[in-house]
Amino acid sequence: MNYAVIKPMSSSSEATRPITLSVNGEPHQCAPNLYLPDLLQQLGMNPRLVAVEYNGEILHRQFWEATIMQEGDRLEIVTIVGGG
Amino acid sequence: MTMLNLTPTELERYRRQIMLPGFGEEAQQRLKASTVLVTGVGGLGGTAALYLAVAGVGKLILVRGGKLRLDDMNRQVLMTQDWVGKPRVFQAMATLRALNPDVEIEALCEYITPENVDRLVQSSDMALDCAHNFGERDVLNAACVRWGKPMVEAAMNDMEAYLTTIIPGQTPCLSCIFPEKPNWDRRSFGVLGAVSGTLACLTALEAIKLITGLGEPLLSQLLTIDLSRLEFAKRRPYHDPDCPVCGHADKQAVAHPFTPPLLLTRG
Repeated sequence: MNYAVIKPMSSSSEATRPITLSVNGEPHQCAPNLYLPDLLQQLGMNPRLVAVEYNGEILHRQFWEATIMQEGDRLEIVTIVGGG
Repeated sequence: MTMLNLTPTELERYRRQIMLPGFGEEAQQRLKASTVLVTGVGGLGGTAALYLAVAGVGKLILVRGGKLRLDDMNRQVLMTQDWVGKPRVFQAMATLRALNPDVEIEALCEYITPENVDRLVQSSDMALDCAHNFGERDVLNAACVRWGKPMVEAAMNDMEAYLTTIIPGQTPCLSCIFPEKPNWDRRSFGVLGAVSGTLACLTALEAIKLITGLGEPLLSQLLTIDLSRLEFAKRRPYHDPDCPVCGHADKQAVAHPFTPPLLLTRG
């Protein structure tokens, strides 16, 4: 699971090694230690106007600021729409 | 609940749905005894109202301001071209009456406002939220929470849509799911009639399920639909115990949990 245990790496390369997430069913690479609101902004989304299902459950926005992306995380981002 | 007897004509008209396992005459009587408020009678609400009318809902209250435009005609299937320029909700009423003369229909050429919403929600057993803007959606959601009335929330944009059924105090409300609403131009998005119609059929089906007890409605589930790839997913929305709209309703609901099917009362 933890690659660094098998093959130790310098802390600088470990810190910059990209991680792979699943975003709306597609693989997405991002920097490690990225917080959820920053990821949403990188994806070009307004964090105020989406709901995020994080690893199977919609995550309340009060937890977003403390949620750091991890390798293999699954995100489904639902954009609010209002047409009828 | 007052059970209303079905006439021979009604028994024949609805014969094929009464045959459904788990439906029967009792479900049909429940439909006949129910009043459904439909806000936003366009490609979504008008088509949902059509399927409720042919299913035999007792009364429909249609609320939609404005006049029919030619660019409504790609999706508003209750309308005819000669009606362009006239208030659409009255032709919606006429079309539905012609389809099923046993359905009572009230039509208001108004938008949902804080002034009219309480009377409309109190007059209904449940609401379909099919407005084309967030202002009306928020006002209707808050009133349904206030009066403890179920609401089917249906919305779309381009080829995407979502759907959920809200029972105040039991499920997340619209404000739990989306606490903030974007600026929204109600005419800025493209729409195909088959897309708004697909969502409309699912919306009508949610109401029929809730009224009759048939199947399982989307309670505490948010169905997201991408019709460009035909992807459907059910997600579990967050139910905010401190929601400024429904947090209070939750605390009341503990003492009086809601159990579908609706215990309908006819005012």
